[in-house]
Amino acid sequence: MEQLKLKSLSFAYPQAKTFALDQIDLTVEQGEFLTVCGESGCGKTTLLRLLKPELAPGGVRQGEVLLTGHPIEQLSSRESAAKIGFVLQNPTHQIVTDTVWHELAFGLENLGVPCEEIRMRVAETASFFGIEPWFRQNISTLSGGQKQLVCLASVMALRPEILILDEPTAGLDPIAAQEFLSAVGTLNREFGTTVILSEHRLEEAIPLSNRVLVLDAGRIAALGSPHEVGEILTQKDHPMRLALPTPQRIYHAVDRGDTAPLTPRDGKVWLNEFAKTHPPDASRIPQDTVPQGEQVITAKDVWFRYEKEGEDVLRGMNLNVHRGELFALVGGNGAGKSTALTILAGQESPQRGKVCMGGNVCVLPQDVQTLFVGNTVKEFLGEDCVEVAELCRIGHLLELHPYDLSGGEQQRAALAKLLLCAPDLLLLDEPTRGMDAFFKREFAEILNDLRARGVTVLLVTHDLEFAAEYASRCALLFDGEVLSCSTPRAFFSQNRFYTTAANRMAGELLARAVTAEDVILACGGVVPSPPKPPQTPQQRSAPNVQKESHRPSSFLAMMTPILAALTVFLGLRFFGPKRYLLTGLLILLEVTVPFFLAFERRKPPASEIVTVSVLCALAVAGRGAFFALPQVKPALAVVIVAGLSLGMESGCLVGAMTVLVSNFFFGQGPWTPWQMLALGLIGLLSGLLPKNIGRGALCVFGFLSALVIYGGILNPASVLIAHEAPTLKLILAAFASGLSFDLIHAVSTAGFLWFFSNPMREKLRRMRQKTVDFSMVK
Amino acid sequence: MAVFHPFVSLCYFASVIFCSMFFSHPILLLISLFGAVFYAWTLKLKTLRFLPVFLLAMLLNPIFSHEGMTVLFYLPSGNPYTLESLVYGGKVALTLMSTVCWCFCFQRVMTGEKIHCLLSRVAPTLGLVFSQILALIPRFFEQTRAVIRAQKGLGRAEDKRVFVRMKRSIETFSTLTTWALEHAIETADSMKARGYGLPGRSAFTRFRFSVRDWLALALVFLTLAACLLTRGLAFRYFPTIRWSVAPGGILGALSYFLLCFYPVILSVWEVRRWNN
Repeated sequence: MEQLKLKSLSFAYPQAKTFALDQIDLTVEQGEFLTVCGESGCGKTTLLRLLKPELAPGGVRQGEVLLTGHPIEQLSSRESAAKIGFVLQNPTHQIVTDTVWHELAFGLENLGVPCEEIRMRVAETASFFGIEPWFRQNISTLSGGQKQLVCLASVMALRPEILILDEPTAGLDPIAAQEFLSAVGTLNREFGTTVILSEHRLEEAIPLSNRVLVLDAGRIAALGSPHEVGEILTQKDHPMRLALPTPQRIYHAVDRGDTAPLTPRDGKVWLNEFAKTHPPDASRIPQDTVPQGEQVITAKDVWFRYEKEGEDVLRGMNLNVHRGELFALVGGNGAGKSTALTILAGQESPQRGKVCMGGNVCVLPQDVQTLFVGNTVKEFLGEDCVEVAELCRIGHLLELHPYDLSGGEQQRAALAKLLLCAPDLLLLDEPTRGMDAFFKREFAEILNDLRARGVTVLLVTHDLEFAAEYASRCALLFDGEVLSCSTPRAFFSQNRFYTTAANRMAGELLARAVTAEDVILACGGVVPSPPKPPQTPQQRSAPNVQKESHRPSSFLAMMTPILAALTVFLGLRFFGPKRYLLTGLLILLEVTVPFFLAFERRKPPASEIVTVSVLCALAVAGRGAFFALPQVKPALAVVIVAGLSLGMESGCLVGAMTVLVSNFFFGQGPWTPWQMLALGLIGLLSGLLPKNIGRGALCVFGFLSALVIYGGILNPASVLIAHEAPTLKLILAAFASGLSFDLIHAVSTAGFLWFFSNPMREKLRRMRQKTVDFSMVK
Repeated sequence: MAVFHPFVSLCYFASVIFCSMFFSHPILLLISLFGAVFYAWTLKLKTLRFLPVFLLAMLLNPIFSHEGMTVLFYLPSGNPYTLESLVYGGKVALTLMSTVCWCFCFQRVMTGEKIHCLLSRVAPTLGLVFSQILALIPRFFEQTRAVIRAQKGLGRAEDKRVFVRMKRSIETFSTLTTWALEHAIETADSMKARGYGLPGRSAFTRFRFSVRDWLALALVFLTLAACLLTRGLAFRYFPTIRWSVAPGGILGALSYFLLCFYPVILSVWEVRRWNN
């Protein structure tokens, strides 16, 4: 039965000159497993998002998408949520709530499923996916692979008929990725769920798929069974053939047999059969060159543990690297690879042993986004970046925002930043994670250019294929020490399990063959020439600038002070002893509750909820960034910016929630409600400020609100809590004792606003534009 | 209290904190304080470290307030330091100390999940926001550490100057903010993909209200009513200290004792059951 039908579907982003998708015709049968692949920017994500109305990008769409015969736009939101499951790329950011059980229940809550049924469905989903052992844990304690599994399970709890996954394994290490894909495969096989998966890790995905779709610049380059697609790609000499599984690549380059082998097992059978008639010639495999020269990295008997009572992570590690090498340190999870890197970078010093680094060391972090500052790549790199940018092949991207680059481009931008620090030694932490085959090749070329200039590269990686193909030497780190270290062919050919797919397939016949190219050469095939770099960078469109109107709830704003004044008048008159405290508490309720309820009743859209949460979390966690300046806390400044940018209702909410959550982490007290009042009030007032307020005026506002409003509420409150009849003298004493703290608070808030208010408002504006851009469906 | 439904815990803590703030009889304050300190002790919380601060508050009170008839000595300013003000200072210190101790216990018992459960009953959207913030904070702290590490990896030397430290902190915060806001879009997408925004959203919690919760709730309200409604304990601080006790007052004090020591009694009972 045909489930999904695309009839000459075309799509263009607003203001773009070219179509992101051009005339796509596709039918997906029920229970099918379709893998969509193509180079970065080929339109994979756009295609998948168009299949889910809620996520469809804004722009011009032609043609039709039919779900079991009906146009997909006619699907109600409820049906769409239940029938089409969508898993996004980054597991950390698509998780909405704080605990595993709540994340699993989230979608069911949205559909309004009754609690008892949610309990049942969450339970069965959790036990199917093997999530039970960590069912009650906080998301933050999980590994990347576990998080992505939670995302999958939370989508599957809705029992969708179609499951769409957009590069779900890009951020995972190979083992977690394999586990994740096999879970997807099980869903497809055992439950007949239709799967549409976009992937660059084809080695694992293709054996699971019925059909493969290759996109190229928005058009279908190949569509069919894995075997057919391999044939087409080889015929066209298409760059995507590099991404095919190793056995298939070898098969198509040698081109003998009936059907292409997809797994190393089939590959081995096929190769043995092939070798009977065409004995392979091992002498055609190129020789490794053993690197020589000056040693620039030496680690001798290095022992390290993080805590005094902790376990040793490195146990006598020895390492020697020569100048100009590309040295790959491989090993499983928890072998101590990242620790070794921090030691070599000098970020930690070993307890025993000696590390000697000859030259300036720079480290490329695993998550390159940790380096990004500035609004354009040029700003990020600094003025004299042209030469380095050309070297890293990002010369044409300098005017873009770093976050508008694709994953591989971001990696290269970060590398450029590192090169500006003129390193002699470059340490890279998992640089190929999330890169497609093409980007990997290009990245390796850049690294080779650097080596030619005398830079030494040491990389820590899970990616054995990359290490085998490009490294000058590989070393295995296991249990805190380097066990074997030699040139790639010598290194991998001695291994049986921890080795490349090509070696697993051909190792018995050709011991020295570790890459697909080795096997192809030995079998007398032709190694395909390296593909040309993509001609033009993807067309990018400037998002439409749209103003979002904020409807201020002026009724609330007017009523609240009146109500408060009335309470003061009546409370002080009629309440008995402790009337001041009681009156104060009442006012507190009157001021905050209506705003909370207004927020509740308005049913704010997802993007607003997330913005509020992010700002609150920034206000609380921001102090982490200022650990070097312990008196400085950014909370108040963030609240003011929130009120200014989002309006008084959200400002008030951000203020009050920030206090609630911050005290949840750092200690509740009788002062919590008063702090909520103070920060809520400040957030509310900043919502009333003119939108185009200058930076200086904002700083003055920040200074005064810290001193007058925050101090003015909390100092008397501390007296009210304990005293029945507070005298003026007591209150003044409280002000006096709090003055030094209030002054620091006021000055730091003003300082924050001086440095941050404009960039932060700019960032919020950018985010709002993006969400508006994406929510203009149809 | 941790074993009950969050609503019961909330009612309990609201009652004891309210009473601790509003009662002014020293006996009642002492009952509350000891209840809170023992409870904190069973929760493995250390509360006695606050003692010096509160003693200081007690001794300082007569310097600001000079009411009372019994003059102990005269301050250099010429104002009297009176016994009544000192005792009243003790009352203030007791109030603060017991309230803070109860708040500490509240903090330990009311986990994020429980607060979320309560919030989502009255305001599901706020409950969701709360849960989301709790998810984001550890993520942000972790990212902050990663950013600091990455900056170190650029080969910069450690610098102790305040200006440089400030500049780097600002850079860190800026990087964190951009990262947080850019990825917020993905979170919003993921919410939309799973049907967020449909009418009739339900709020799921893992807690169920059982018979035991009803019983505990009844006990809390009964004891609270008893100690609020009975009269007969009077204590006057100014101008001279006077007190009186009536039978009703003893009943009130006893029920207040039961209220404040309820969690301690429960945990003692629990320990004994394990030992048998």
